[in-house]
Amino acid sequence: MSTRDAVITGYIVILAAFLAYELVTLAHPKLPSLGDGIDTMVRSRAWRWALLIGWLWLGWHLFVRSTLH
Amino acid sequence: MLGRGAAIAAVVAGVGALSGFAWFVTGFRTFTWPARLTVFGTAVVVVWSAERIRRPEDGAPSGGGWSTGLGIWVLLIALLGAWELNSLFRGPRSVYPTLSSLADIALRRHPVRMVAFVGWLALGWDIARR
Repeated sequence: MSTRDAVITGYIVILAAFLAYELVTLAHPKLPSLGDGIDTMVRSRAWRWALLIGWLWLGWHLFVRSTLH
Repeated sequence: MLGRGAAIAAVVAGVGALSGFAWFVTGFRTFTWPARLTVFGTAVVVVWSAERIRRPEDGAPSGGGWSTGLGIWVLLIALLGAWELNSLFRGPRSVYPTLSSLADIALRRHPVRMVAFVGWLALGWDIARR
């Protein structure tokens, strides 16, 4: 396995852990889902705007900085 | 009230209009004013309209399980961030790809780019209405 493959496998494993834990929270309602975690964050106005600014940055990063051409 | 046929037609028209708009926005060249203005303009409209229909705030939950659960999310996000930063600072991208460089490969296809744009708008809508 090349280093590149190992790095990509790492991303896949971590993202699979996100998905697996989200499924665990669905089965155990006393545990917070990712959406519940976001709800907890946005109770603070500062965190809410930080999340929205992060989202805006993501849009710029994916759709303004990179291109089809 | 709309009839069933009219409701279906409205949904089809809405999906078609959104897809067409997303196709149009994601076709601009990098760092051009049309790209900047359409992406940021759409973001402003999404946040503004979602703010109008914000969900009422629930009471803050508590308990040991809840705090531990939040801690696991923080741990997973920190792990992803650390893995990303490791690639970012080690380079080159061909050996240590970042999530951005992997996304760039997928987003070279216009249909994928269009779907990703709609997904990005949905994410912003979901955050803004919370």
